[in-house]
Amino acid sequence: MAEIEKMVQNTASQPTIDRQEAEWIAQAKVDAAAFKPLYERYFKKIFLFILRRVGDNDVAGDLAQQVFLKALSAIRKYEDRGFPLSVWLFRIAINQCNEYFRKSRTARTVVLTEESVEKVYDEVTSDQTLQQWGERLPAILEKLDADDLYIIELRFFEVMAFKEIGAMLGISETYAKVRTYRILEKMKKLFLESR
Amino acid sequence: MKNKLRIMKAMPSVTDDQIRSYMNFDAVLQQHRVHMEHRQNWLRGLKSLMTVSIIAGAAYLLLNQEEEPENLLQPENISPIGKTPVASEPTEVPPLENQKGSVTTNKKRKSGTTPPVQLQQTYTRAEPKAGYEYLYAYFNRELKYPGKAVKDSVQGTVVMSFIIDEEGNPARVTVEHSLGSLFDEECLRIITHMPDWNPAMLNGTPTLARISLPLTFRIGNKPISKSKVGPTYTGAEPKAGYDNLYNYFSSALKYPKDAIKDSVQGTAVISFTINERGRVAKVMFENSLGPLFDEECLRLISEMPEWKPARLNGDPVPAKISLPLTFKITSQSAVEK
Repeated sequence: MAEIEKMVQNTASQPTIDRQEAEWIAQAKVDAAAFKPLYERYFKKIFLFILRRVGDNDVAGDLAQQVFLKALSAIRKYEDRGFPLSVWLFRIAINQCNEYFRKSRTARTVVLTEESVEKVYDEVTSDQTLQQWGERLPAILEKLDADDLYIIELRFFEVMAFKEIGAMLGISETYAKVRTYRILEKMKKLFLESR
Repeated sequence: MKNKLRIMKAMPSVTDDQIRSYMNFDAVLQQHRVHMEHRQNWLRGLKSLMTVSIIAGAAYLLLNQEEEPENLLQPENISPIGKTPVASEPTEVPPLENQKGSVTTNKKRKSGTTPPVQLQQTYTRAEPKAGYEYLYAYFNRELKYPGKAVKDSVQGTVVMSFIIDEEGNPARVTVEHSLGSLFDEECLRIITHMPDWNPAMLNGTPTLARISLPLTFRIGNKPISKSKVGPTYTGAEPKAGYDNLYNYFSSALKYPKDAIKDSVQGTAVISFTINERGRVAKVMFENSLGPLFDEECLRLISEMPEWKPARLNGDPVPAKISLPLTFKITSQSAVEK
């Protein structure tokens, strides 16, 4: 758990302009072997990100390798938009996970700790008890679109900034915000319906 | 809209060391280079694949029957080849088709006056044009221990995997088990220049086939007697043997009832990994006949007899297995109630 927290903080508070990283990226565009320090820096983050969605170490290891393979072949096209490289890697990871779920027909995993249940609960400020909410949350999450589920996870379980969430899903910061609240509304509705 | 979810109350436990054990930048880099090199080949391969699927699509429309597993992958184990000439017989895994008994269904076909078609699948595996012996001789002759690596006295086996495409060309060469970039490069060189192959054939049409090839590097100029020292690679196999597995499939495989009305027949190809502990992991559908059949395949795989992991020099290693499972509506199924 501590690991996740740490990772969450890293992502949220990392300075968006990182000279060293920019240099590594520039080198990697010319020579793929120069990608190594970036691989070392981000492998764990990507691995944990995937692990939370697939729930199996071996699968996560395999998919993480694939993510970096894709990153290597696309690094030439990478443009710095003021985000750490991790945001771009997470985006690749999301696609990789989606492909995996489609191909393997494995159920998507969601890590739902008590803390995450509470975080969403605080947002919906429903008049229901926390316990009721916790019991019904899994079924409610199942009714969300794949992308909406990512948004809820990223925003409330992994505490990322809207700006980054938007970048990861290819939408604007404002839209990420608007959409998050629409999803919360929808979840509230689903909750009331399920009574 | 609805996703089946698996809810975990806590993060799966994983230590930093475990995470590190999955890290292998060299493998990623190597694969990346192979991809770049084979881009040309790829484009050619893609073109032919498209042609094949167009033809197959047309055939499908004309014949209205299901028989286009464009991606039939067969487990191929080719025995290890030594740097010093050590070539042993290939231990081939027989194709796991469910041919022993016909698959029966327990429901009469509704339209049932015409006897249902028997679909015979014929599959011949990809082979070197001049035979395996010649291929081994080539490896024994050409595989060079990288000079720069002598000082580190690395010895061991690189496992390469590649696909023989419809034209008999190797494509998608990847390093499954690496000894470091010097060795990987040598293996890559030798694979790209190897003698020509005949593509695998499914019902007379060339199809893709996956080949895994262990290549062994040893220091020492004396040919070592072949029975003693060769690196040993044994493929993953069912604990009770393949016959037992076939029997299991032929008795347990059920044609999905609800699919009878569409009279879909054909071969679903499922691939999975037998990991170091002999457990099934990473199940993928390489060729799907539709959700009903996928469900049945998953059920079969989850209940199948136990496996022994593959071993490389005695150590268990993961191995990828592809299983073609043939679904047929048989005359027997029409006779049965």
